Amino acid sequence: MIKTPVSKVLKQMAADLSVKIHSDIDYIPYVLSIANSFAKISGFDDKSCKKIAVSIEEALTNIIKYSYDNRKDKVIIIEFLFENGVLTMKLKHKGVGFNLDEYKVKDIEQLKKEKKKGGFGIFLIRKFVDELTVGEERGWKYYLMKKSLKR
Amino acid sequence: MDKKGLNIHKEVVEEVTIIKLSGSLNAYTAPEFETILRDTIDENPKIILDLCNLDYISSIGLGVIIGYVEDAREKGGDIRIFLKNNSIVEEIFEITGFPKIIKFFDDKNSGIQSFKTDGS
Repeated sequence: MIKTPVSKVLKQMAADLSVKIHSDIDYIPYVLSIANSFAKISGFDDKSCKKIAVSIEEALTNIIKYSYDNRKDKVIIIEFLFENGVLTMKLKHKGVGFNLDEYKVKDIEQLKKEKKKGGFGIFLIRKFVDELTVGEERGWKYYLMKKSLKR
Repeated sequence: MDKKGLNIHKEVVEEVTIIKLSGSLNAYTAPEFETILRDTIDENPKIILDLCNLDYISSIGLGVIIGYVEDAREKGGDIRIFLKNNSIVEEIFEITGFPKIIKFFDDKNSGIQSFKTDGS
């Protein structure tokens, strides 16, 4: 009997997974481990898996730091869907929403001068996934990221 | 690798402190790295970060380096980076503009020697 690789099977069908965590950075390694496994089994190469990990972490960190103001007792739901060669990642929360239009790329010289320790999160997500949107539906704010296998 | 997913090894070579990182430098592991980097700057501000074995670095990890490079320079040293054969980490540094503010070396010894030749 010839076995079909899991990644090939997934390309032909939809797979989805949902993870619910508290808004605590201690959960980040667990989420990244799940994201890495999901992306790898969906057929993404190692470098793409790392780009996906960075994107998930940046969105999670934004939610914890800015939307929930570092409170650890709030809820974040992370949904993964792989369908038709596209990985969709949706991070849902009930904190303060984020306006992408207000985001401006920080100048690295200025950050260094001011000894600022941030400013690249959204920039990295935009570089590493094909699509980033934020929005709100049914009382949940969300970050929606899509990455195609073809890229 | 420690339980957090980042291994940090420190050694001093010719009066330059080499901090070698393996694993992921992210929001979860960055606080430990920040503590070690800050302490190292107080002890000896001539620092090379060996990032060849880093899986990836996120914005919080980048922020720690940006946040302390001026401190090292104010104390007569610098933070320089040794990096090769690591395409994802190289790409992250490149697109965020790090080469404009930090010196990179693809050879550790050249990085060590650079502290002698340029007076830092």
